[in-house]
Amino acid sequence: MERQSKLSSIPRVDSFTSHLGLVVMLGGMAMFFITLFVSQSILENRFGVSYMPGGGSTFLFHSSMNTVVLIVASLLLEMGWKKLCKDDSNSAILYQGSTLFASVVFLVSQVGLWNRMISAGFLPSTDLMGAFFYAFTGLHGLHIVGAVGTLGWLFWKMHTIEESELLIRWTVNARMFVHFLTVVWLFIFVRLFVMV
Amino acid sequence: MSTNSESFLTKYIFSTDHKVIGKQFIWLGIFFLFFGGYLSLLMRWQLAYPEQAVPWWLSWGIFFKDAGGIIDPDTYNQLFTMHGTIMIFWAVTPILIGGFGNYVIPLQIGAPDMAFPRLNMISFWTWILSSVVLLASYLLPQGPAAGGWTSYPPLSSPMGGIPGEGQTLWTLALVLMGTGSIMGAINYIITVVRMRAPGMTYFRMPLTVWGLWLTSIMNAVFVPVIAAGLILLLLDRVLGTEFFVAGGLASGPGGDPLLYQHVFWIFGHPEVYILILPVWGIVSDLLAVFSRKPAFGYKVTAICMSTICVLSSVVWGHHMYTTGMSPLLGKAFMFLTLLISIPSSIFFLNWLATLWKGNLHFEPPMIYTMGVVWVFAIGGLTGLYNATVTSDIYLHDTMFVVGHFHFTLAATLVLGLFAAIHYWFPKMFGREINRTMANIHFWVTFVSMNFVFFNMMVLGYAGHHRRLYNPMEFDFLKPLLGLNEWITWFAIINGVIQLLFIFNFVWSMFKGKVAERNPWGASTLEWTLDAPLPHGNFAQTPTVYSRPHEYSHPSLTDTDWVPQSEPIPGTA
Repeated sequence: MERQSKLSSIPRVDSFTSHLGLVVMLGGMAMFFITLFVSQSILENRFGVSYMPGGGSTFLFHSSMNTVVLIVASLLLEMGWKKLCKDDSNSAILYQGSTLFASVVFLVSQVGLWNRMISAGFLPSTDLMGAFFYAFTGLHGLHIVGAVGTLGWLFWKMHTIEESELLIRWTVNARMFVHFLTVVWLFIFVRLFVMV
Repeated sequence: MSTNSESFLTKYIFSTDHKVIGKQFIWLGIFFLFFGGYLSLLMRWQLAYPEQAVPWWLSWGIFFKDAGGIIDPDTYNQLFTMHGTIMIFWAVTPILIGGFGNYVIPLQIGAPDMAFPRLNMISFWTWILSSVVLLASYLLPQGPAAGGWTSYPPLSSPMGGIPGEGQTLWTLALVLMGTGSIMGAINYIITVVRMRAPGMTYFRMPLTVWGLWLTSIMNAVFVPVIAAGLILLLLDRVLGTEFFVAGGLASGPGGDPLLYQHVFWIFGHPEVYILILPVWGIVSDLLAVFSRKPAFGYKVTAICMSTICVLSSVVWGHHMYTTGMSPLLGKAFMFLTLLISIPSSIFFLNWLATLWKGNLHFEPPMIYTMGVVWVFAIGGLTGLYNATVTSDIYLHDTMFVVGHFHFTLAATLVLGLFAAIHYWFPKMFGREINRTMANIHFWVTFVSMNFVFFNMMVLGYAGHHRRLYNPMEFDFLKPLLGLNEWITWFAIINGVIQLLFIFNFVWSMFKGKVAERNPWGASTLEWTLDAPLPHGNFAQTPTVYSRPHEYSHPSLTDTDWVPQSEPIPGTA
């Protein structure tokens, strides 16, 4: 028997349908970031402005650390998922909480990076590299805020509901979303700090 | 089927029922249709009677008081910007895609609702938020956006662009509208893929569903592209970045305004098809219903519509022939654009073949549908001149282009949505729409819109540039003043007759004759249900046995139709 949604009073769709919906959404997000990447490449080639944001490698270490934090967040979520599949809900909650924590750390660290860059006089209006740095990191950060909200909600649900099928469904969706954002970040990191 | 009792708030305001959300979108769209239409009349007045006071019956005695009733150049720019923006994104899109997409898709595929009802509700309220942001720009001291519906930089840039924050709100409103649009697209795509009733294969889906489904796929792919471009534009305006600022306007090396044009048209050209695909689908279905024949080349029409979707994503450059693009690139875009005419012609001929030797019933939905066939033919054929580099260089940015895209988009879409409203009205409200008023409305609308848009093309051919504030400043345009006046008066007639439509709509909702379950003898699934339809639609999930247009099947004796949920007698 399908569970009834409180608001719609229509049976919920199955897990596959729910995942498929998320895949379409992620496809849209991919188009969004691809447009930004292509725009950056076009302008970079046209004006020959290709250097590390901030003008040097000062911020490379900070940004690399952020990259590590986000990869760790993705790995923790994956480990939590494995535990959930084995019905080890206590460990799953622990990993889930750790993912949430790592995501928040990433956000705080990004704000720190912005703060350092602004203090160093590197603003969105400084030049095209600055414009793209803040556009990429800001828009990615906004999506991470969404991921933190999702993970927080999932963390709360793990404590309050027993229905493992729903938890698994939501966790799969959260996994896809967080992994997607990690991949996007890797592209951003490579594009801004490596391919220059 | 739902048996839960719902409060007024959850039933009519924050409803998750696709039918209620569909109606909410239609009301929103109708409001903006009138608002955007009114702006066009003001614009037309300025073109016919340049710098003469707008009469009281058009200004309602409250607008343009400060300027002695005269529309100044800045206001004129705002009028055409907001007219285009509102008509495309806040009138036609909500009605055709939000309204009929929501109302029709689940019913026609035999689903209880959309796949994600809450996302559906959030989509509608995101549109409302975007509408509020857009309308709020009218409260700004310098008024709303004025950079045209395309809002090319540098017109839309803070440096050297049109002053005021109207453009900022315009950009933000479009980003919000796009977000709502993507939410809807996700819902439609997944609903069609996963929630079709047993037996409802892809090639048994009504062509309306095909059109809406393809539209949604295009929305999901291309709206994020313009969202990215708009956000970069927003950053230019708010944070002082220079993505689209170039030359002397930039503080440093700057960016490239042409990049915005590319991003805009990568979305913008598919947007034309995003808007028109639902109408093609509706027309294909309605021609079959009112010809009492199966749609000719049903599968081919669906395949042609899909092919056009693919082709439409690689032709954006034909909007930019005059930007100094390489002639080789221009030729490539011209070739690809002209290729679209092949699938378009095929399904257009399918329409004609559906009518051929059909038992035609000229009910109100059918006459609007026939109107679409006519105006789309004109719009499509005149598009060839814009697709061809040599003629487009002369016609670019003239009133010819305005006439062409008004035939293709305005006339085709508006008549298409009227056809849809008149067709599904009995199912939506349980009553019939008044036929006499519908017929009068159709003929006056049809004749006046043809006069207006055809003569716009004549003006353009004579060299009349679009977006001109006062054509009388140019000697060679002075002889065209009379034609401009005629166009304006026909546009006013067109505007006034829409009041009859609204009267008919509201009157029929309450006083119209109670409709039968299936007044058109249509075989798609929604007509197997009695109005008012409950939340959840079908008491039992239907099983589908046939294609959507099995009219006048030789084995039918008592009637000439059979619902898709019943086997055709004598077939396995």
